[in-house]
Amino acid sequence: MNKLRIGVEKLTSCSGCINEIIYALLADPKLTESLEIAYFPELLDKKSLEGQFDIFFVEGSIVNKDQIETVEDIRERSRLVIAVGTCSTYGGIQSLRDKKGVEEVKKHVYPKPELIDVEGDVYSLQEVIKTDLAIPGCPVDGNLLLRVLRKIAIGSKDISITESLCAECKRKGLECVLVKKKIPCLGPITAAGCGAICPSFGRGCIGCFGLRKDISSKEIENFANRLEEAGIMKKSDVLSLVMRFSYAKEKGYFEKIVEERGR
Amino acid sequence: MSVTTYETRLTRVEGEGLVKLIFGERNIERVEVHIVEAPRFVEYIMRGRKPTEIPEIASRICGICSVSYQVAAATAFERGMNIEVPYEEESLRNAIFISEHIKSNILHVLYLQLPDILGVSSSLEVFKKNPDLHKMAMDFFMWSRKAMKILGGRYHNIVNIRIGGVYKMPERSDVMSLSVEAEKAITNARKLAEFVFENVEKLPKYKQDMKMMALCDSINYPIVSREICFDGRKFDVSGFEEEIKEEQVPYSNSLRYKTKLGEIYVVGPISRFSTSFFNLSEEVRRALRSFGYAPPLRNIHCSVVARAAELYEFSLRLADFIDSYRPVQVEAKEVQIAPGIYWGAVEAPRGILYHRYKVNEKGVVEEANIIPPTSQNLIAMEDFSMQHLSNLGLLGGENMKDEIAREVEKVIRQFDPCISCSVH
Repeated sequence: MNKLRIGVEKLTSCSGCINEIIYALLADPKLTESLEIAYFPELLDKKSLEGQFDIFFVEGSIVNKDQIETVEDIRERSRLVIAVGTCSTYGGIQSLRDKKGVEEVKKHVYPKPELIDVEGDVYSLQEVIKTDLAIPGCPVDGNLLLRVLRKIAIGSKDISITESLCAECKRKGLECVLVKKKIPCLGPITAAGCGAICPSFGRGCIGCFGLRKDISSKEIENFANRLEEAGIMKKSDVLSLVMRFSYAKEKGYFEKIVEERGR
Repeated sequence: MSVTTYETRLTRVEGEGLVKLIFGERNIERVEVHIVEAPRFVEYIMRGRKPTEIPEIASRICGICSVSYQVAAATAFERGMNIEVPYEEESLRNAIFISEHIKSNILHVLYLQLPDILGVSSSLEVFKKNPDLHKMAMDFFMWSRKAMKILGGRYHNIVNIRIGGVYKMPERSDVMSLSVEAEKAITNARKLAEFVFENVEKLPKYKQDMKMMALCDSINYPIVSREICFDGRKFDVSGFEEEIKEEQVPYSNSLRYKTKLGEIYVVGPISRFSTSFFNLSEEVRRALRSFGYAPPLRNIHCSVVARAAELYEFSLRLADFIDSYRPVQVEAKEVQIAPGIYWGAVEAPRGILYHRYKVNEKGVVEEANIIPPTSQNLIAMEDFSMQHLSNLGLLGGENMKDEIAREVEKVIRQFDPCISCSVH
């Protein structure tokens, strides 16, 4: 059998998902045998993209023209392009600076803002090219990635996550922190996939796997209203938490919220 | 005068950077470390958010050293607002922090740096030829992963640190499940350290003048402290920004730092090792002495020696924590936010990580300043590259560009740059 030719590119991110990709590629020696890791600058001295790829993992979000060109090139060369992690899937935590005027943002960090090549808002990979699969998580779960790789290696594809985190708590038999302890928890509107880490540490879900795919802004609003009515947390605070990892998924809605708050 | 340049992407480092070589008519004139990765403006994002949210947001600056960011932010607010952290919770937090050092050092030494010592282009190649080493690397890597998961919830961006302590003390039985493998990890750490010490013969031996900066701790090998030592004196973390000078150059998205007098300084394992050697355990010191190592280390290529020694030290310390672990009930925490300016510093795997926050009357962050270790080392990377080339007599012209670039990359890798951190 031909080895699967793998590429990995990192864009704007913290590299946390890179570690998980390393884990997924190397954790199972038998699987590793069936892969040819052809491009992965964090791991190999291979400097440029050459040839065609079976699977390309792209981690991080997109903030300038160079990155757009890179991912377009990757798309042309690859059979499957997989967005890895919350940044690549939804834009990630750095999206919180969107719509503030990037020149203004630069001034807050750099004495010479004109030298910084960042052009506009933060984009997820899916907004720039067609992706075949997007696996959220901040960071992504390495074991989930490993399972995806195995599936592809035996000739299957497409896994869709629309279940909410609540299902994971139920499966683990965890007491609901929201209902029982009145701790603010984003579980009901957050995509499953992490194994309910935060509730198992006695805290509410922080939403780092991003909003469930099927959730609308209306439902986010209902959720925030319910938490306020129940006296658990102020609506504006709930929305502020939700947007930390999912700003880019409902840009229009969150933009409005931030504007209202500013007034 | 004809000037030519050559650019090549930095590989086997975290993040996106380039090396640019600038050649004069005959010789190489300058080395530039280009930090091309796009910044995320996290300090801007923090504005208007509550201090209690800051450790979580800060952790997203770096996937390799996220605990360092969480602890630096949490301790800044705790010290400044007089928030007491219960002893058991602080021990757990330190254990998580130590696990992060172990994980980062394993990744760096085994997956990124080893190929340089052995003269190959990737660790996959090393492992193919040396299955025992591969097995050891994998076991060690998996153990650090498991430790992070049990103590912190997952491998990085862990969920168990907050202002005032932790969210949960894991069950004793879960922590004890790390114990059996801990013995193996210590053996692995010792073997790896010995492997590095033996092979260091292959590294350059010339002596360098280095100004080293590190946190200091009176008892332990330093990870969290209020005191910074530099050049034979100590100062409080709140004075850090007065001791250094920031600069911005067109080719780097990371800010860069020198001392206020314009001196180049180094942070990281080599600085910690040289200033805190006597805080290492006797067992580690003895191993080092038997291979002829003593502080201070006088060549940046010896960073790998310091890293291997730390890996050994931290494995011992984590094993001690596991064996004596006693969970207590974590009490609910009410944090009273007070306006003010708050400073925090930790020794992240790559060196001093500094945080400063200004909290306003509304109880939200108005201004944040974060200075990661890699930003502080950037100027030294360029300077030491030129020193290295000069010591090797490798100052030749453009026809030598590949060899020169290779050597420069080796120097840069000794700093284990975390480029994403530097462009937070």
